[in-house]
Amino acid sequence: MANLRTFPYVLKSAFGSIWRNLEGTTYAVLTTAVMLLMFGGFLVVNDTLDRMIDALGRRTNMVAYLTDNALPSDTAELVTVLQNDPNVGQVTFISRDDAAAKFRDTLDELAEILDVIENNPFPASIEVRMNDPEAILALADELRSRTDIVEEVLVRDDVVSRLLYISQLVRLAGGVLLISIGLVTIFVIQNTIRLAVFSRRDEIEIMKLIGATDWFVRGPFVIEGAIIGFLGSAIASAVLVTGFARVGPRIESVISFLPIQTGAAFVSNVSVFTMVVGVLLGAAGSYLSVRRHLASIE
Amino acid sequence: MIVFQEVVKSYGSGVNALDGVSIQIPERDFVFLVGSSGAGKTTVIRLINCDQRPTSGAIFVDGINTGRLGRKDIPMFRRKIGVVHQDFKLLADRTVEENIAFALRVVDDYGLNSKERIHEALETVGLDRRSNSYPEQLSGGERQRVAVARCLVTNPAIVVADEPTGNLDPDSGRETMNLLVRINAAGTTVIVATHNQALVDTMQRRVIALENGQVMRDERAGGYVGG
Repeated sequence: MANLRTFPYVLKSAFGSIWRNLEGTTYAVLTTAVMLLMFGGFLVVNDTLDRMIDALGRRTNMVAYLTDNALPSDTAELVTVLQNDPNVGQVTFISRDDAAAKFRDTLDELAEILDVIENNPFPASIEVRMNDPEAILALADELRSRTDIVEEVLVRDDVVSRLLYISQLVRLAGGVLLISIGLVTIFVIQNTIRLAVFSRRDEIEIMKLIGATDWFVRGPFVIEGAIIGFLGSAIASAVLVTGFARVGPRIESVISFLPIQTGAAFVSNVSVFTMVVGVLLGAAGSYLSVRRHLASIE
Repeated sequence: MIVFQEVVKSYGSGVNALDGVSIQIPERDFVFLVGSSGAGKTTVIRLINCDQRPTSGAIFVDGINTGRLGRKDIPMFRRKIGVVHQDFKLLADRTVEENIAFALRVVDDYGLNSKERIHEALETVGLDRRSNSYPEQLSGGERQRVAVARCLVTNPAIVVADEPTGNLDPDSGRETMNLLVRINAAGTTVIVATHNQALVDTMQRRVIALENGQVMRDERAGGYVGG
């Protein structure tokens, strides 16, 4: 990839090499396609999970009950702090009177109890609705530490933490899966290019003797690897798009509560991302392969 | 100017391929490197081309200390030097013309007048009518002349040839050597490592005789064996 003048030659060399090693290239393309299909599939699963957590998280409320002697100024300050927290979506202050009124409204038949009791037994509270459900437990702890005005914090710990645990588990598994996919793809392409390098070792030797730069030698192989990555990811994307078009609506109708995205924009985003990753992995694999060969000669 | 100052090259076997070699080769010189196998001729060629680095001592080519060249500087350095090998090192799947064009592309000098330059180089070696032939369709002598043409097309200041007549019959060997003499007459420094006693004796050029990695003789106009 010395410059624009040599680029057509570098490109021609890359296609020539693919043609000479068609069997190896096909094998590499198909393996890359399978790997990237898993990659694209994971992106869909991850997105669905994210949406589930988000949807469930948004429905989750946290209630902080305030102490009876909480000063109005302290309470107002806490409400402001919560409102300014980017993880928080909505903050509602419910005074003791409001709480009593709510009790009367919702439990009409028990309203007489309040008439018997002299003092209003309901504490004032702050209801918090989260933007980012993952931050709810930390925020709850933070509120609990404000013992001066917060009496108790109620949060549906079990549901939230289980959801977060599953999410973390899936992300961890996904991370391991992504790294494995990346490594396997690089390994496959690296080996394919190694064969191409081996079959052109005489040419490389002559190039180096004449005065070729490392980039001039690498260029065709890196492009060859990128082409393998591109073809593999194109197949994976085609399968993803077709699969989505056929299976997506069925899943949606059977398990309607799952927020699976089937929109064209989302599918095309996943496809484009998969293809970019495919091209980069292909180029990286071949770069490593040629670099190793060039390091052995001077 | 090529200068070797007390150059030692060891391949780690305990025996030095070159053992304190000091030589000077001025511009436009024509030099034969002679000696038995393992004397160190090829090592001298490889050191000049920076294909190898000296273990100790210093080598200067056109004022450049090759031992201090960084890996990235080597390609530009090598473009000053044309190399001819015993086994020609031609690409079998490309025609004569494509083999020579390849050299121009490698040194990033392939442009509008490249066809003319290739034709000129082939004319110099007398193969302008074989430009569309593949190496396997050529005789050994013709292949070596293609290798010389590939060398010439990039206008190197120095041509180093390692046993250029080693695989050739006597007539082809003589032709190749005459070609190198003509290249030298045009102003290029030529260094030839060879076993070809008859040619060295006939041509009476500068001879550097190596033995066990040391310079045994450096004669202005000598034969294969000193006398």
